[in-house]
Parts: sequence; C-alpha cells; structure tokens
Amino acid sequence: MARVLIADDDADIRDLVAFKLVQSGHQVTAVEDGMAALRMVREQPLDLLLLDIRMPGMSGLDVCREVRSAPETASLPVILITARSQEGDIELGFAAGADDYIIKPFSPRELSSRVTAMLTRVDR
Amino acid sequence: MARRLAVTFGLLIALLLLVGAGALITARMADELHDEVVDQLAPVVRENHGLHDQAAHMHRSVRTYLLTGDATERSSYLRSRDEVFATLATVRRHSTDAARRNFTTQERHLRAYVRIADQQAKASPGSQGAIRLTKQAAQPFAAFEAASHRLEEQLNADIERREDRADTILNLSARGIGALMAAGGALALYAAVRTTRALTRPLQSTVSSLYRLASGDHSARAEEEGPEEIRAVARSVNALAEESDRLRTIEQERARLGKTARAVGVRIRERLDVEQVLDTVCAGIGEGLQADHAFVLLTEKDSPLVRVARAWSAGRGLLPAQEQPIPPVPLEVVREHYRRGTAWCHNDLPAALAEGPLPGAPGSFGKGGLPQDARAAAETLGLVGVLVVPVGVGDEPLGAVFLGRTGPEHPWGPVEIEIAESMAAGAGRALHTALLYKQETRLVEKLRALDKAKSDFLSTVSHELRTPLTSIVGYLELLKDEETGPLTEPQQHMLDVVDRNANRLRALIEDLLTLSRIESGAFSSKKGPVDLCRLVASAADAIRPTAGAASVTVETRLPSRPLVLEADSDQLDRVLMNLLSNAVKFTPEGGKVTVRAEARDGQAVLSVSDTGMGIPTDEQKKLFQRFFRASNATDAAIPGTGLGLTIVHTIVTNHGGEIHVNSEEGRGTTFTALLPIADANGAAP
Repeated sequence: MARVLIADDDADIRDLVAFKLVQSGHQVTAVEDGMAALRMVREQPLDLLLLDIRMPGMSGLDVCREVRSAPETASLPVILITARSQEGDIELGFAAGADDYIIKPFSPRELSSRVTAMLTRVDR
Repeated sequence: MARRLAVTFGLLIALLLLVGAGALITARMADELHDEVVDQLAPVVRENHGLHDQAAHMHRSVRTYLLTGDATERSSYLRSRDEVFATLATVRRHSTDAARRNFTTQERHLRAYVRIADQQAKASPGSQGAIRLTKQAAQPFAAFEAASHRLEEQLNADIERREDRADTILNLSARGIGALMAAGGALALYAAVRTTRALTRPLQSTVSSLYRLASGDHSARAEEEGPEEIRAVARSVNALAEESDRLRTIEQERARLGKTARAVGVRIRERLDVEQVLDTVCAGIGEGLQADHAFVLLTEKDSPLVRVARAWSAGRGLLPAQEQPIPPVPLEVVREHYRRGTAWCHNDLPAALAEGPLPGAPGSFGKGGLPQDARAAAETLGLVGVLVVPVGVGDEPLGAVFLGRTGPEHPWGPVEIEIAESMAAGAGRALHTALLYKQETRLVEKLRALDKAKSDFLSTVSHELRTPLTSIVGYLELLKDEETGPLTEPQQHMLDVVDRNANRLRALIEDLLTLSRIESGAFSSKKGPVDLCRLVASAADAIRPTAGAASVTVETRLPSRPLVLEADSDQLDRVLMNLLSNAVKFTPEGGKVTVRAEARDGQAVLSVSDTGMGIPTDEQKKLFQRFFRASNATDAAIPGTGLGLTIVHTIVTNHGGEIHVNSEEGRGTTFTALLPIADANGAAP
C-alpha cells in the first residue's frame, strides 16, 4: 500500500483522483495548494506525488523543484497534471524534475495505471 | 579724343591745301615773270638791236653816197630810213614803261640825225655843204648810238631783274613748302604719338584685363584711363566683371547651401521617429541657414491653432519642450500659407509691425497684422528678418518652419529662401513618413496586443474548459465502469450520450487550440526534412484499427523512393490524420480509402480518396472555413468540430502548398495537397 499525495485546487478532481486511487488500493492524502503539499512532503513519509501545475500561490512546478532540491525528498516520484498539452509546458515539467505527466482531461483508469507503473518501477 | 583727332587731321589737311596753293601761286608768279622776259623784253632788245643795225646801215649808206655819189647808196639810205621808222614804231609799241625815257631820248637823237641825213641825201656829193653836213651829222648819230646802248643796257637790266625776281619767288616758295611740309610731318607725328598714347595703351590694358578675366582671374579690373570712349569700354568691362562676381557669389552660396541642405536632408531622412525628425528638422534647418531662431510649428488634430513643436536658438540649441518662444498661430494662416506653397519673408519686421497689417503675409496676418502676443514675442526675440516656409504633404498642411534673424546686417536672400523651401519640402515628406510610421507602429502594437490577448484567452479558456471536462470525463468513467454500482440499460444509454458529447467537446477544444497555435506560427521553427512516404505509411497504420472497426479498408500507393519535404512532421502528420479520419468517418461500411503520394512537376502530390458520401458541389468552396460542416454530414449526425479541414488548409498553406477538393455527392471525395519538394540540400525552395 503506497502513500500518495494529490495536490489540486479543484476539489472535484481531488476527490476523483482520491476515489480512484483508494479503489486501486493506495493510501491517499489530498491538499488544495502547493504550500500545503510541500508541508506534507516535509512532515510525513510519501511514496508518490501527484501535482497539478496550475495552483494558486505555489505552482506544481515550484513544489517539484523544492522537492528535488531537498536531499531527503530528491528521489520521490512526481507526476505532474497539466491542462496544457504544449510541449513547452511538458519540457518545463521535466526540467523541474518531474518523472511523468498526465494531461487533463484524463481517464481515471489511465491515471491509476500510470501511478501503479511508476511505483512498480521505483520498487524495482 | 575724337574732337582732338578731328582737329589734328583737319589741320593736316589744311596744311596740305596751303602747301599746294602756295606752290601753285609761286609757280604762276615765276611763270608770269618768265613770260614778260620772253614775250616782251627779249623781242624789244632784239628789235632795238635791229633798229641800231638799220640806223648804222642808213648812216653808212648816206656817207658812202656823199663820198662816192653812188645813187644806189642814196636809194639804200632811203629804204633803210623807211625801215628804221617802221622798226622805231614797233620798238616804241613794245617798249616797257621803265625804258620809255631812254627810248624817247634815242628816238629824239635818231630823228635829229635823220633830219641832217635827209639834207645830206639832197646835197651834192663832195660839196662843201656835203662835208659840213657830214660833220654836222656825226654828233646826233653818236648821241643816237649812245642812247641805243643805254636803252639796251636798261632792257637787259630789266630782264636780269625779272629773272632774279622769279628765282627769288621760286626759292621762297620752295622754302615755304619745305617748312610747311616739315610742320605737317611734325603734326602727323604728334597726332600719331598722341593717338598711340591715348588709344593703344588704355585699350591694351582693357584687353589684358579681359584676357585675365577670361582665364579665371576674377579680381582683374580694367584701368579707367585714356579718352572717354576707352574709359566707357573699361567701365563696361568692369561692370561685367562685377556682375559676373555677383552671380558667382550667388552660385557659390547656392552650392554651399545646397550641400548643407542635402546633408540636413539625409539626416532628416535617416530618422523615422516623429520626435527625432522634429529635432533634426528644427536644428538642421536653423543651423544650416544660419538663423538665430528656428521653430517648427505643427498642426494638431481638431485644433484651430498651430503650435510650436520644436524651438531652437543659435546660442542654446534645442530648447526644452515647455519653452514656447512664439505663441500659437491660427490654422487658417498656416493653411492659406500652405495653399500658396511659397515662403513668406520679411527683412524689416520692426518697421512692418509699426505699420499694422503685414503686406504679403498669409491669411489674417496679412489683413489685420500680427496679434498682440505675436508682436510682443517678435520684439522680445528681437526679430528683424523672418522667413516662414509652409510644411505639408498633399492637401493639408502639417505646419510650418519659422526662421528668424535678429540683426539687420544679414537679410534673407533669394538663394536662402529657395533652399529653405526645398529643405521644408524634404522635412514635410520626412514628417509625413514618420507620422505614418508612428501610426503603423501603433497599429502593429495594437494588433500584437490583440493577438496576444487572443492567445492568452484561448489558453485560459482551454485550461478553464479542460478542468471541468476532466471531472465530467473522470466521474463518467467511474460510473460507466460501475465502480459505484451496477447501471440500468437506460442509465447506460444516457451515460453513452454524455460520454459522446464530452468527447466532442474535448475534440473541439483540441482543434481550437491547435488552430490557434498553427495560425500564430508557433510551430514554423520546427521544420526539417520529412519523408512523406513514411509519414503516410504510419498514418495509415494508425487509422486502420478505427477503419477496420467501421469495415473500411485503407490502401496506400507510394513510390519506392523516399519523398523528402522540408516540413514540420507533427503538422504534416496532423494533416494526414485529419484527412484520413474524415475519409473513414464519411465512408460507409465496405468502402475504401486510398492514400497516394508521388512526385510530379517538382512537387509532392498527396491525395486521400474515399468512396464515401461526398460533399454537395455548392458547399465545396466553404469547406475550409472554420466551423463549416457539410449539410449531408450534419443531416447524418456524423460528429465533427468543423475545424479539421481548416487546420489542414492552414498547415498546407504555411508549408507553401495548396489543397484542392474534388467530390461528387454519393460517390466519394478526393483531397489533393500539393507541397514543395526539398531540393538536393534538403532545404525547401
């Protein structure tokens, strides 16, 4: 059972992701902005981060950079959720240290598969 | 000079005439004396000589008769006696007045002798009486002979005297003529020297001045000397030289100012910014024309006044914007001035201002004179000479260039006015261009801002739409996957409808974003060599599952060699996918879609044909317009955004190609795209 953190300012999407991942057997924590996400990352052990890029205050990219810059969290898997499919955004995401990305609107099934695949890869 | 020459030559002619007349008269006098000698005196001498001989013969004859008594001698005597009296008459007749006394004495003695001789002739030869008579006769005959001798001497003396006189006359005449000739010669020499001095030297001086002038020595001047006529010529030559100097000075000034004007013109043309153009015009024209003050006045939109936009003064250069040394001018004055098209110049402004109206000034300034504030400004600046040139392009003035000088010693000249007009014309064009450029720049900035707003809007909208769409699609999937419990048949059907429309919405958003990105040229930098054949093959492979599900076969007909284009492979892929998905979508079961690619006439020809429902002919033209959908497609409720072909058209056009449609309703459609082939270096032509 993996510990997954979802950060998204849209409550409906937070609930959707949480529902699907719980269904898939993960332990999910949901927060609504980047600052809260970063606090969680520092306070409790996590196995994977799901970060919406566009959030008020601190963006998902900022959170990702912070996570990568701290040695204790540098290896934490990060999947970005973006509403923009332009390559520029995706490149920015990888540059910030993300491991994968998923574009809105996404299928919950696909999200779950990607999370599972990412966790499996980390375990190996 | 001419009078003096005339007098001299008159004198010379008079002298010649005098010499001629003198010579004539003396010759005549000498001739007359000679004639007297030859015609008068010489015959008298000869006759007198004859008279003497005849008298001697008579004397001899009568004495011989008395001695011999020879009667013939007596006859001889009588004959000689008649001859003597005849000759005597002749001699008396020819005798000169001076000789008359001696002649009368001679005649008296002769007659006295003849009276005795006549008695002798009557006397008997040898008689006492005869002897007495012979003795008596000897004394009167001797007296006759002495008188005759004296007469002859006197006549010879007369002849000699006349000849002496003739000699004297000729002598004197020769001397006189000689003297006169000498005088004439001297006079002629004098005249020649005078003429040479008076004419030749001043003429030579004038000619040498002309020569120097002609050979470029512009300082050469003829000396005004010699007679009046020559002085007049020298004066004319000098006047011509002065005029030539004046014209050359004007020409030099024109050339100098023209050079300055061209330099200023080039500086003005280099500027595109209105403010910089104004700076350059004001300072350039002010400096170039050596004004003390220069202002550029500009019309303003919807304003009845024309204000100073730039001020420059010789001492301070460009003045700060807030300084307005001269007040605004009514637009009608500038408009009237511009309509005239020529400069207005006044070189004695203070005097003109004292008189009230300004003659020749445009508009109300000419009729009513300058307003009080303008007079005050002119006085404050100390303006004496002003030159105002209208500036503009087309029908309406843009403003005016105002140039002022404060000293009376340097009035505005015709060449400066001419140059100022030409500079102002250049300034007008430059200003016009700069204003247009400014407008255009503003327009471009506005359009850029609009374009950015559009992009931002689309980006925002797409994000804002995607987020709710994520919830819709996500929860729908959970429902359809029955993760929240089993669904009834009608519920399943309803969720299918929601799902279809959610997908349509997503496609619409994707197409809108794609179109927006393509139109903004965001992908144009990603071009590279692309093999169209490989692209077609992979697109066909990608569409085959969908086609297979709809029982439509997809065929490709490709050349064996690669067909390389210089293109954006992602965009070309989108073109292929859009055309292929359309073809599959509009083709009924059992139909066929054929994709061909070939090189023809240096172009790549890509065609996608289907055996589908086709497009009504009258709608084919609108096919590439955004959101347009064929009526038969909407009638058949075939989903679509109406953006796919617009995207195809935009991409093909962006790649320098063109796309055509050929379709027949109910039989099928063929889209043909023509794209440029990359040349040997792999670059697009």
